[in-house]
Amino acid sequence: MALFKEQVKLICLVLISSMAMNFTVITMAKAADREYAIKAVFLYNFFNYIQWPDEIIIANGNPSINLCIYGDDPFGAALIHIQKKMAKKMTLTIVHLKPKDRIDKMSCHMLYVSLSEKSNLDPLIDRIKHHGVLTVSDINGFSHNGGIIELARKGDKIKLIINISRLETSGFRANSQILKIANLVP
Amino acid sequence: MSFSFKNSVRNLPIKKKIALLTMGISGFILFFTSVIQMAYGTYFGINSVRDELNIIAQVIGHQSLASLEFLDQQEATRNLSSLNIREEILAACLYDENESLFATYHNKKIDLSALGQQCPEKSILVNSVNSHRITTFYEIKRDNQKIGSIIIQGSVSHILSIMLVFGAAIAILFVFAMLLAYILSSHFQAIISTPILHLATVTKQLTKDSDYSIRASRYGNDELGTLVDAFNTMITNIQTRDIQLNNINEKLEVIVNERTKELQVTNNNLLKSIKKTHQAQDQLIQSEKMASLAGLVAGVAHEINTPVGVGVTAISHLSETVNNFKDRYNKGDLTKTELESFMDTASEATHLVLANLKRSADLIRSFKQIAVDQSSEEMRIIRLKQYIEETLISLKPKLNGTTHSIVQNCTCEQEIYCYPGALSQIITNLVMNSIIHGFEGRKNGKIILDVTVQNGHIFFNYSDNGNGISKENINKIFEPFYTTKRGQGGSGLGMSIVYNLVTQKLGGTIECCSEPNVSTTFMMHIPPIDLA
Repeated sequence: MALFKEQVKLICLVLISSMAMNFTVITMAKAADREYAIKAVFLYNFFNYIQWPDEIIIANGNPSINLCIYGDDPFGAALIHIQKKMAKKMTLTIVHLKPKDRIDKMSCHMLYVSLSEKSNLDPLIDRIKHHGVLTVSDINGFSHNGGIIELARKGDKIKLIINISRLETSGFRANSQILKIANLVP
Repeated sequence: MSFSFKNSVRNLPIKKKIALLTMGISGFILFFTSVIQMAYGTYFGINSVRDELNIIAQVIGHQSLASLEFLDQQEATRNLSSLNIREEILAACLYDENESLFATYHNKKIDLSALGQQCPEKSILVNSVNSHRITTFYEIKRDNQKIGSIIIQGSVSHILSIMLVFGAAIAILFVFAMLLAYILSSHFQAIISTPILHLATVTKQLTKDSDYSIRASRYGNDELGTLVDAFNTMITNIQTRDIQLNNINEKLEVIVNERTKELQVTNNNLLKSIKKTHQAQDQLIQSEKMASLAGLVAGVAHEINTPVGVGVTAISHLSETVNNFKDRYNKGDLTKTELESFMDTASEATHLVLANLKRSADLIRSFKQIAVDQSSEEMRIIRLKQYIEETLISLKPKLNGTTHSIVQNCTCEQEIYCYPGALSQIITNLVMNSIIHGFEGRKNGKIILDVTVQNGHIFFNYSDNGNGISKENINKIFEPFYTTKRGQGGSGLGMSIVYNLVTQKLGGTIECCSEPNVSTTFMMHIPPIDLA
């Protein structure tokens, strides 16, 4: 009997340890997912805190917004969730840009620059800096290098860094609350 | 408790009653309004604090939108800490859309540990007020979508402390109001109390002196004025009535006096006539006594007549014989036979005369004593049996010529100290009554006289077998002047004299019972007379 008990204990131990290993892998994957889920929500929130120049809304007629993603799309399903969330107010179109695609304020209201484009950042910035596009990226030093909003990591939190002069020269107006919680680059 | 309070208020002077009333009413109103005001103040204060907290919750909620949406807890906490300018805010709790705690604020000036957990883990979707705090809840939304929620807890203690100050102020005000009410009422109560007190004084004086000429004076045309008028009218009426009553009383007194005088006169007259009646009665009794004495004398005369007559005859015969004897002796014709005959005759005659004179002397002696006794009222010692016998002998002439007889059974040899006159009068009257009334129209009447003496008590039973006394008359026989022989010589005093002698003179009792046509019995009891 005692022997049987010991065997059961051993089997249980093996099972539990294998499950724990599995869990760690899953958590690591989930942590990345969670980060981008939050970032997706942030992208969505920007529509509430930043005012686009009037002519864009007028030109569009019925509110339709294009969110362009430059480079690899790290969001996955999170953006679909955002799309659904916004559906009540406006139509959000997610556009995956190809390197040669034309970028202006009519085709891309907001442009997310993926981490994968870190090396191509400067030419990209030069290319779009006069097009009145709200640029957002999690590339380190993005807002210091001509980008408007940078999603910086600070510990396990995400901190906004906003280049206020670029924001204003691009014709956007930011809500005071967002300016309060963000670090500003003059 | 309330009964005694009512009673003690009832007994207060009017001045104090008015003061108490004024103070009571003003105090009650002040108290009532103060309570309402305090209640309203508390309610209003709590409401306004809640409204304010609501607004603050909304403002802070809106300000926290960005920090919630961009998950900036630091900024949210900073945002909440701006609440520290409001001391009454105890705590604030910010929750994210999943209702987990996002940021908190605690008032550092107040030790909240005593108040328990400030921010529950899951926000509770209620507004609440309790004795410690007001909790307001606000849901932060964007485009009807919940972003998070905020709870702000405010203290009510400052409202309560304001109310406390307010209450203290009211208490002070209350004291002042009471004082003012007292002063004012004691100034103005005179308007009401003076006429009443005046009326009371007048009434008191009126009752004390019974002087109905006093009038109460009027102070105004109010109800008290009417009361005073009515009072005065009443007093006037009483005065008038009093005067009338007095007049009538005086008249009555005069009439009563007159009547009394008349009555007195009548009374005096009556007394006089009673006196006269008594005198007449006494005279009658006296004359009756004399009459019986006269009867006695007549009896005695008759009784003495016989022996005296015999004596006279004998002596006259002797005298004739002596004369004859003297003549014969002088002539010398006297024979021996004649001498012997003369001596026999003389001896016989002297013997006869002596015997009859002796008898007369005896009779006179005994009659003399009875007559003296009947007319005098002295006491002396008698031999009862002998005395009765002597009395009966004196009555013998009344029985002469009749077939009636008297039987005397006297077992009374003793000497007795008494009023013999009374005794003989009683016997005489009873025997005379029997002869006149009892044996009227009868023959062979028999009178039985039983006398016994025991320890000085004389028991005297007298009965006859005559006509008896009818039932309707038996109660009246002792009344004076009651007689069935009015106009035939009866005075109606005989039995009355017997009654008075037995009951008053001898201090005894007398009873009479009679069966008509069979017998009449008188039973007398005469107690011994105290020699002392």
